[in-house]
Amino acid sequence: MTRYGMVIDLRSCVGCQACSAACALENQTPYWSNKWRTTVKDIQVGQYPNTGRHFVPTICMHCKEPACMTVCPTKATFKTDDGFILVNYDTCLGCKACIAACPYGARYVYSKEDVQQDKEIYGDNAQHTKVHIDKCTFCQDRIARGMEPACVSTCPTTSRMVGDLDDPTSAVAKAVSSGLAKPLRPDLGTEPRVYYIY
Amino acid sequence: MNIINKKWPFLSFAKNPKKRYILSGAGPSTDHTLTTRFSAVEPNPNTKGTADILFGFAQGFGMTDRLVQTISELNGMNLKALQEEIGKAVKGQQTYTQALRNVSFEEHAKNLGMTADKLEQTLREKGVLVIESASKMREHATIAKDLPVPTPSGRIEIYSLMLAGFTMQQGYHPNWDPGLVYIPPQVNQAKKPDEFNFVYGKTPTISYASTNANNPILMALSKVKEDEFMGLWINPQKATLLNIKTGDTVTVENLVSGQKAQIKAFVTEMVRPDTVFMSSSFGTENPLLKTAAGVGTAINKLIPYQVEPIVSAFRSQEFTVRVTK
Repeated sequence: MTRYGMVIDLRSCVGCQACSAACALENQTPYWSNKWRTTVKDIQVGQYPNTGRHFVPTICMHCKEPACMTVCPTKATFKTDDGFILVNYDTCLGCKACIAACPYGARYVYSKEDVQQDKEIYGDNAQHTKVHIDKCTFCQDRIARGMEPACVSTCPTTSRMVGDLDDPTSAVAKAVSSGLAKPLRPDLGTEPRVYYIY
Repeated sequence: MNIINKKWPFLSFAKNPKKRYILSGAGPSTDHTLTTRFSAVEPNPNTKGTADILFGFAQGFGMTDRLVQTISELNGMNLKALQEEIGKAVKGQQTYTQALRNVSFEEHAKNLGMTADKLEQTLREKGVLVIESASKMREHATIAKDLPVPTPSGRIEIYSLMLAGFTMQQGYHPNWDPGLVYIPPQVNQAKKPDEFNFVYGKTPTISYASTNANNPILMALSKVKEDEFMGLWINPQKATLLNIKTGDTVTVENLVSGQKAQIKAFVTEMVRPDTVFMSSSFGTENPLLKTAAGVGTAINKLIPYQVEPIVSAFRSQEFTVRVTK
């Protein structure tokens, strides 16, 4: 079984937010309500003239020990055999417990208004027909078709890589095993599958 | 639409699925290459290609023949071939864009010893056709390759024969001094505390207010970083002095033209203390651009119509501005 993981190289991210745009288009996330599955934080450091900027894309970490799943009262948040953390929209109550539990701020409410707007924009192709808590799916449907997630394939500086963490020849496995790529907040014990090079 | 179509019959050919676009080189590659674009989606029937718009103007002025001749002279396209293809466009048998494209393909194909169809097929399959690599070209095509530098004297020459030609024709002017002189920008060199140099640039989400600012996703992303993307960048040293905080509405006044605009301030270390910066991506007032209209401030509220005489570029930063809260 492939154990997909993602490595985001902050050294080459230019903060263009093409990942956010591609994700919004692919997954019909409610950009009209300023809700995104992936965002790029813009951090400015230093004082003129020794100043700089760091861009930090954020996304669901698809944790091995997901706090969001533990707190879900209806087991709507579940882990697939591949290790992806997904939400069953049919059983999700929208109680927001997972939003509070996620230390990475990766979830939001796909509200009634958002569902209506999705229908208005995308018509019969609307993907979201029920109120639910929404999050990154690692573009499951694209992965199933042998494609990369939208945020990865669109990245103009190839700052995002995806691959099998168990395949020692894959670029992501090499980056992780060498210690070059590290998870965010490892102290929380969530064991993310998204790693950062910085 | 029907009325427009009667007047400009070539519009109806905008749906040609075999549309080819003009051939060009491969961007920054120094190899001798050909590449092109193929339409991925059908164009909006209410739009026209640039060539069709320009020929529309030329037709209106009764200058179609003159434009064809100019294109031939500037691009080196065969005049007769150009006249034949443009003639078909005039009769409404194809678009002007297609006409230019056809001539370009035919000429490039002829030079390469292949048919235009074969050239198109190659470009569709390979994307880029490398005619000769840069290293191979250097072996036989470098100008004065045995000289230390490729000038007539073999030494570094800071003298432009082209600009000398301008001087002979038009008389001397610093803008075309053959020796390339420094022309100081027309700004006040001894600035007051509230006076700044003015620079502008683009945002990563939206490059042009007139084209992609109306994309709802890109606009939504821009609004996430509204302070930074749509604001006037001002260094904290000066902002403190002028009691300006991020989000404050400030007035920016062009001290050369007198133009004024209001914009929200973004206090940041990312800009020099003597300079303010803003993006050129926002502020369109075109009501048809429903997402973009009225969002942000347009730089042309501040930039006067000053054109550089040689390259016709806007002298868009040759002024200082006063910033007041």
